[in-house]
Amino acid sequence: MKRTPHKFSGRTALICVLVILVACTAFFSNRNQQMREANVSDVALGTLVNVRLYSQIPQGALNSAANAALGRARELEDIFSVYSEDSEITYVNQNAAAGPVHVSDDFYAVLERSLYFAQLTDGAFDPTLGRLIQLWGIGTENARVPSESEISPFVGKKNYEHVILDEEEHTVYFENSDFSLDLGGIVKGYAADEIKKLLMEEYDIASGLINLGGNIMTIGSRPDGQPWTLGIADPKNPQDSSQTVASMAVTDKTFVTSGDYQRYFEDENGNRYHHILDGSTGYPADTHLSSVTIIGNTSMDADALSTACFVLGEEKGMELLESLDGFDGVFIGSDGHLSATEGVSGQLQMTETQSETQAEIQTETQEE
Amino acid sequence: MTKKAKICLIITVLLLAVGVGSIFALRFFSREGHIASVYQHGQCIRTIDLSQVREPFEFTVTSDLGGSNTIRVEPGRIAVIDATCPDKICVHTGYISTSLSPITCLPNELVIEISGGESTSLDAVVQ
Repeated sequence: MKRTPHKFSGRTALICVLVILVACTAFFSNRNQQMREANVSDVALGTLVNVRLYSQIPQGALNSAANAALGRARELEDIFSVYSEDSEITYVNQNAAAGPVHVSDDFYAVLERSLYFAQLTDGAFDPTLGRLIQLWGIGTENARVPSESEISPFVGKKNYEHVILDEEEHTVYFENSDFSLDLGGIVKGYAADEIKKLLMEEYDIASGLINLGGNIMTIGSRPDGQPWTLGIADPKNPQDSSQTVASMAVTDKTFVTSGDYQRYFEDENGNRYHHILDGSTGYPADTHLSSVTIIGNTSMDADALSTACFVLGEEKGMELLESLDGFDGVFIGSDGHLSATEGVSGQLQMTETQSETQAEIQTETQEE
Repeated sequence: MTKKAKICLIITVLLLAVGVGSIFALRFFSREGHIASVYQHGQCIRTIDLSQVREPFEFTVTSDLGGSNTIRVEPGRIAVIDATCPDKICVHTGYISTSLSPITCLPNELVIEISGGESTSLDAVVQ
């Protein structure tokens, strides 16, 4: 091809301009189909619920999906809030000892799973500690250390064995009136599962993050197709995202943490009492752990297991997780050491500042 | 004719270059700052560009429900340092500097969120 000036005929110029125009049109129309984001937050279930969705559907439809997610969370709060006089759980607590009470599908599903985990963990997860939780009042203005005589009626009772479900009638019956239900240790997990189901089935969402007060459920992968990278908070600096102890890349997984570092109160002597109560002692679980993070597919199960493992402690908690299919755990001790179940120890990326105290995990990570 | 077409082409290419260049420039310069937004009862009541803060300062937000939160702003970060709420979760939260973990005070219906700023490699932090 000769590059002499006279070869630039009017026709060549026209073709060039057309090609550029087509390229530009392609560029801009591609922009119209770009990933859109909806990012909404609201207070529900006693925590901040944040929903971040990514999709190519129109912005209006995406916003509707995000708002529907928040609506579902509020719906569940109306069922499970023990602080509300009008909630279903309050009604059940007031009436189920007198005779079987008919309950909603949501209530039945959560209670049934709660009782399963109570049996499985021998009460380390116990949905029948409502009265004990009320007595301690952690997270309320009435928080205090109760006396031995106040606590003793609730110690080692295993009242979850006295909750009778009737699947056909869809009813709940309490065999005695010495306890009340508090499903706070599992309902956020159920909410995450339900929100994810709603978004995927009704709104075709394939990429998103659901965050219920630090419990994370991922939908699919990131909008760029990469896995989500989730960090595990450092119990000593829980909010400082540059201080996470470890991170992991995941798709379609949930991360649920139980920790002693956010919901707690201190008595006049500076002793700290956190909110995870052990039904076998009546006191906050004292297992030398600062947090347990459960990684799995279903958030409801992960939520119950994180509480159970925190109460059981590292050794028994590890045993429990290894005996189950599809759940892994990351345990952070009050001394800062970290251990993880086999399924994830190779995938965890340790934050550098943590590595000195975690020689054991570090060697496994280096093999990657 | 040939010369005219050539000039036409050069002008077109130049115009397009300027156009495309300005789109990218706009995108680059309109990047969000490091903004902390304070929400009370669901309404945004104050925004602070944390990247513009030189001297730390404090202010108190009083809730319609009677409680109050004292907020401290430092270069690049923000915290609730005192509050009337019973659980003090907002105070326990400490300083935040990224969008990954907001501060929440449920009793006083206060939320502080950060947008923009340095991007981290994390999508979310599990707590």
